[in-house]
Amino acid sequence: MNKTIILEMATKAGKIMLENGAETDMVEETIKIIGNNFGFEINSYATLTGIISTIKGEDNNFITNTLRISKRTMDLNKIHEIHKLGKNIKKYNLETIKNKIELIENDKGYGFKTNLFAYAFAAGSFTLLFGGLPKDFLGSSVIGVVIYLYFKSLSSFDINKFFINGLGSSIITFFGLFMYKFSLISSMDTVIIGSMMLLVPGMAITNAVRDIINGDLMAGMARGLEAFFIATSLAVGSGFILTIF
Amino acid sequence: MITQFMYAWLATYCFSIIFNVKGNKLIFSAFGGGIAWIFYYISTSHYSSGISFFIATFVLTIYSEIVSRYLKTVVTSILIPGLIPLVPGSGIYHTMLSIIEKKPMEAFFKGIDTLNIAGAIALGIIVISSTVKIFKDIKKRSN
Repeated sequence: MNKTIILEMATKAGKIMLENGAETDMVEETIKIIGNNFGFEINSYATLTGIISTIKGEDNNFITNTLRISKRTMDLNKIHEIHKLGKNIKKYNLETIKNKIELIENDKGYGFKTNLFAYAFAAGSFTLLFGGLPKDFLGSSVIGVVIYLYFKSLSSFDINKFFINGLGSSIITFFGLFMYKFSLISSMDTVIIGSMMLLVPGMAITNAVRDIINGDLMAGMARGLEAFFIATSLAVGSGFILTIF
Repeated sequence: MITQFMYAWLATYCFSIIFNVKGNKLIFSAFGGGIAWIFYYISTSHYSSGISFFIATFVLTIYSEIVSRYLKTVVTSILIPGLIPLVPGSGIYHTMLSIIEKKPMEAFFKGIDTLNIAGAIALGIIVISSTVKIFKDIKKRSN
């Protein structure tokens, strides 16, 4: 068995997991499982921005593969599928595993319409949860649609997260202010905060604290810092609009 | 309270779609979010906010561990969407906004509050997942 191929495949699976929001220990474990399946020992070091994996061959030679993680989103299905692949890996041969990994990587997720409604009603239901009235629900649903279109149009460009979130926050605040001034909504706060839930790094803060308690201080600090800066850019984006108008 | 559950359920369901959760995991994760929110909501009338978030996350993590085994998926598939109604998104935002509006005392208190909530949530997760890990290890050793 060619250990280069195995290493490449295993690290690719790990990369898919990491890019889509998995924890570092799950990534390292999955890479190990894939290696063990073919009789090799692979040890990895995964961080939020890269993976270094080393495979040990029968001849006691080591090969290392280093991958950088440049974009991170949250795709729970991809994590689930890679994990499932790892669990059932004994059933498949090398070609099948490679193809499955390829398929998982190229999965597009839900379609345009589904995502559109999801963004709209996610913003809307949070507005309701925070005490908004039906007209506020409508207001933030509209903002949710705007935000989805905004994200979609920028997704093909490699723009940094802080700018995207900051501008998104400005858009939300602007629309919220606009709707309030024209009496389309009753409570500007609930609409803005409800829509803002689409951007806020609440998940990141919680995961950061979780990582630290788990012992992975690097990941914890990295996530925490990112969450802090995203929150700052959100506040700046929003504060900017509120100050001008 | 039913309406609170419904809103939290819907919010979690929508976020699960945004996170590309597929199949029947969607409905189960949505229920997780609703249940978590209800436990938080009920707890706030008896306990402080920290304890309330802890209880809510504690219940949610137990729910996620059980459901994920039934659905044969990773715990985080159910846990992460379920946390969405609880995570202190508005807290973070308000903290930063207070800083920008030059209200440092307000920012400080909101910030501490936000960290407190994040910590309570993290603790709720850690307690259950550590317990589960211990059980798994015991099971592995006795085999």
